[in-house]
Amino acid sequence: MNLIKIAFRNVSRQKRRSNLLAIAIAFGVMMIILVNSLTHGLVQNTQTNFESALGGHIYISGEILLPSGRKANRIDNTAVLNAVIPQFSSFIIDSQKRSSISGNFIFRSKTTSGMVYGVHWDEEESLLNALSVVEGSLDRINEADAIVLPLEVMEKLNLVLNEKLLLTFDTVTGQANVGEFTIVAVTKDTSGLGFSAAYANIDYVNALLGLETDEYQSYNLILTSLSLVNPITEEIKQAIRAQGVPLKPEPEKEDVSMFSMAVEGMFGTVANEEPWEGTRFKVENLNDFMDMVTQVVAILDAVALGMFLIMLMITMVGLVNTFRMIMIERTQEIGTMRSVGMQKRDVTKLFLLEGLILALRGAFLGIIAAMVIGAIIRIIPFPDGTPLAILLHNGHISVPLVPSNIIMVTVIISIITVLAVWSPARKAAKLTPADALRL
Amino acid sequence: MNNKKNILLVILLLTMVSLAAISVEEGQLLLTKIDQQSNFEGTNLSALMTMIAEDPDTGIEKTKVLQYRSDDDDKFLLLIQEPAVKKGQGYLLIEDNLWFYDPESRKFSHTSLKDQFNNSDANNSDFNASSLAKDYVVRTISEGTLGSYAVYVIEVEATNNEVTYPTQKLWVTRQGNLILKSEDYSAGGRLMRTSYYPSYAKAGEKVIPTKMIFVDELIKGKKTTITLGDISVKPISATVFTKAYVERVNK
Repeated sequence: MNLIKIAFRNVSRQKRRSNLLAIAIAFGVMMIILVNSLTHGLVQNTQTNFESALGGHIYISGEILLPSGRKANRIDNTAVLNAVIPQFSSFIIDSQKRSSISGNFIFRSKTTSGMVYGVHWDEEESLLNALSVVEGSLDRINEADAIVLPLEVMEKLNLVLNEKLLLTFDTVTGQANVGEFTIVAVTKDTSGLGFSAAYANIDYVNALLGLETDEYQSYNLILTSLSLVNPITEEIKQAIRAQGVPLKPEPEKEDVSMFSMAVEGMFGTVANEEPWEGTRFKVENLNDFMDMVTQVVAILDAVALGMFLIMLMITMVGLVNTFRMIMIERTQEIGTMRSVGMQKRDVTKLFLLEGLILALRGAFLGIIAAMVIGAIIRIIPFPDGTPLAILLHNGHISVPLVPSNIIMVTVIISIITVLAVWSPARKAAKLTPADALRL
Repeated sequence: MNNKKNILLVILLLTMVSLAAISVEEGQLLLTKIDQQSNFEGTNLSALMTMIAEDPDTGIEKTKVLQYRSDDDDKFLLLIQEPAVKKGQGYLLIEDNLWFYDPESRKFSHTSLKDQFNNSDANNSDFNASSLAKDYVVRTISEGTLGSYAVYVIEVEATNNEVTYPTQKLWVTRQGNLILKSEDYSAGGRLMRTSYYPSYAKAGEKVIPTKMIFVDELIKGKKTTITLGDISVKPISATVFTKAYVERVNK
């Protein structure tokens, strides 16, 4: 305990030098924690926004081959899903059955493209909670032709609440059709994905598409943890194959994009593949749409790691030089301590402790600074319609401070500091009292 | 006695009416005749189309398109000549596959006969050979007039999913079997488009509308007018209906 007290006293003696060192360490710790937290927040928000916009983590859809050779997006064989999905019930917290129409909204002489998701309103509590209603109310969503429309569409078509709106589209078999909707609520697009998704009653949407009332085009699953998305997707695919029904072959990586899927959905591309019978299923997940984000995050993580290593090296060099100077300045002090009976290992321990105290002080300051700056960043509001919306949560950047990251950075900084101090500490310990006092 | 006379008169009138009325089966034959006189079998068709698309939102756009048809082979080619910004864009139909060519990217992309042509009110399928008899079945047929023309008013229903409009109503002249007007309905029975064919020309043994007006019934004020000129039935080389040709003319 004496050594710890002595180490604290020694660190406090050279206030300016100690503070400067601590600040340098604090800066490094703060930067690493902030960059890690920002990337963590970026991924979290993007996943949440995609999850909200796409309705889940795993998306199961189906297509059938029409006699003409064209494909129609529909799930004819729900028995397969009824048999497969319960096998994974312990990993699923929610599921949604949806149909969707991709077409053109028309009001008087104006048109704009858009997507309408048909939903079971009484089964989609998470959607109801996620919708950011700016006008109207969700009380009327159970009316047959009610539609919840994005603000962007309202503004483009100069619409007002309760107005009737037309939607032109193709049915699942490719016929032209027109749907009429009554606008009951207007929502703000908080996902930042840039496409105008409206929501309506699935029974009405199915009728427009030419589907039966109890049919649906996609079955979306929300899992208990995002880390399960990829493994559960693979297991679902295997379970579907085990039912003896075909799965859509994996496309080339370049083809997997929101746009190409939307184009395929709109045009019902001609099947120039091996024909199949019944429903052919397709199982995708959130990560399939987040390729670009995942790459950006990987780059950011690599940059953060690079910064971290550079800062560590700078810190180490600084610490080594500083403690060499300290050793030279305190040579006589070391001689005095040795001459009154302090052992070599105690001298070493003393210097190591001083280094550790500096590192922990710097880490503590760095963590506080990261918390303060993180809180400031979180307050900054971004305007509606910003291209960064997909990275934001309710218009703000998220900077979640992950305890494991903080602990890891603190431990690494401490280890590095101890390593940097080791050599000067050993040299100081090797000095004989006589030599030390003579200098 | 008078009653008997009246009954006989009514029976006579009803008989005359039933003899005069055209049957659904005859209506179906009428569709076949329309196809036969519109399709260029054994020959080709080339023409220069001038398209004026009016949109209350975006204004008026004029487009000139070269049209080539080979109905025997289920092929057509539409090559945009004007405006300059779209020159070289092409729509090539080879049997069931319709390709759109973009000279900027020099790539072909798959599109659909059901899609609108060049963002107008005409569909790509409007430039294909007529297949009314194959694609539609007559539900009702009656006699009527359209302006000063005596016409048959025929309601038809699609027999397959390949056509854009599941139901149509056609006004066909009783003399000459020319479609003067067509109403195109959505799957839900809503009128989406009205097409007018006010003038025709003879091209060899066949007839072709020289003016077509497509009116969007969902967007007020939106319509497209197409006029045909330089109509020819001279043979066209099979190489014209190839991707290589489309690329070559754009070099």
